[in-house]
Amino acid sequence: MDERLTRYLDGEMGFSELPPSLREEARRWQALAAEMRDRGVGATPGGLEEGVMREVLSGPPASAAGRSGGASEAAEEEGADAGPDRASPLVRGLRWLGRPREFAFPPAVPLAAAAGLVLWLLAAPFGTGPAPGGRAGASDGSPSSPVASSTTGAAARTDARAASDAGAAPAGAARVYVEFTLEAPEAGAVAVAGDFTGWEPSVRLEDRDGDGVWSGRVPLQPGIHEYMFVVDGERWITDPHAERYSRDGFGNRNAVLTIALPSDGAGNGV
Amino acid sequence: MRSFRAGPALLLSTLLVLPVSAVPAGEARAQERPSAEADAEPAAAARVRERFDPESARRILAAADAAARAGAPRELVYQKALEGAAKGVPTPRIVAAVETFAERVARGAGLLGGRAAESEVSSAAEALERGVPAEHVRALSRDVSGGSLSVALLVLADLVELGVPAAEARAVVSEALRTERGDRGLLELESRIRGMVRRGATPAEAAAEARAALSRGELPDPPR
Repeated sequence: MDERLTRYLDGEMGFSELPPSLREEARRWQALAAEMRDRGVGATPGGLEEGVMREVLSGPPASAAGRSGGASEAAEEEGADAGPDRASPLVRGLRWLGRPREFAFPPAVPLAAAAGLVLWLLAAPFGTGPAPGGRAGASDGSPSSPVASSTTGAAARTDARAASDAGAAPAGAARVYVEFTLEAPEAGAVAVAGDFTGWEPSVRLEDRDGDGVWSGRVPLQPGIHEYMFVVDGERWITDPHAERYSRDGFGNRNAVLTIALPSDGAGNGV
Repeated sequence: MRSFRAGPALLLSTLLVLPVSAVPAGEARAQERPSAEADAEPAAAARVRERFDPESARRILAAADAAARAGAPRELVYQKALEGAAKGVPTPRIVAAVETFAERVARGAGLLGGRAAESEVSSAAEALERGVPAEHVRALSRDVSGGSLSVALLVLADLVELGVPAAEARAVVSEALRTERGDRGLLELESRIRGMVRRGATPAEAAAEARAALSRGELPDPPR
């Protein structure tokens, strides 16, 4: 039977779309179908539908497993076998690359792959916290006044809270997020400068709710770090609540922050 | 088991995309490194030349070279100079302070031997500055195996400043290292000794008691 006729009988084509040469045959097929409907010939025997579904659900026979990918693939492969392919090797290769194949694996495999991808993305520190940018704008924050006295009158508080993402990572891979906090109600801007910024006040703290408490988180490697606060770009303030201090050699003191490896001796506790 | 239909090209491109996308992740990690570590020595030296007049820069670079001959990283000296510049310290004062600092880090490097890390040399110099005798710095560096010498030197200097005799301070820190307390254990040890002193013990008594407790496998009392 002509394929166009089959499509017409399946309702996929209109009668007017048929070429005139097929219309007469189409009318005859329609009349035959109407007569069969009238006589009840089209009704399926009882239990046929359930039987077919049982066969479908039980899966194809082994010999047909490779063909279960769908009609389009079967038709394409049949077409390819129908005669010699005159296309160039490159074109045939591209066709092969683009032709769908069937892959079978347990649903756990793509789930595990997705979980691995998510973990990998989390491990990559995209945009986490204010990164110390010691080199950028090297002269922007340079103070114009001499070193500030340690008696600035500002109340300061620093927390080394934090939120380690290191786990049992070795020292080279570890990062600990440290939150620096300074209470300075009169300040218009507050930054932190330390050995981790090349001593440029490039880590700016924020006072989002306007209560005069400035804070910001900085990812630091475990180790010993020295830092100071810089208020309004020119006043260098020693954190009065640091655990340790170090003379800076210029007549002032740096605050000293010690970050131990999270996994290092943590369970031993002295 | 489920079946999925896909072209080989799709699978190949997926396999290629993942490694390629790892490159930006690696770059992000590199960008997060603290600048003091990430910058090569020539960059810091160039900054010194930018920030100082030629004569001052020459003296700073010469001080760094002298420290390097003793095994100290030049970077430490450059960073001290840049710290002074960032703080607005007058240049003559910076140069004098940097020359003193360079001598100290050279001494520290000499005590630790030729393979000390930058942070260890810095801690050794700081310990010397805070009054730890050189022989105890050297001895402690031999006691460390696999732990953090930087933190051990810091705790040693803290205990000496607290008033613990240097020999006793070194002994208790070495005992903590021997029992593999780790950096956190060392810091906690110092905290507990401070607590004992607050409760009335002399610094020497507190350190000796802590060392005895460590050697027995017991823990010093926590501070109150």
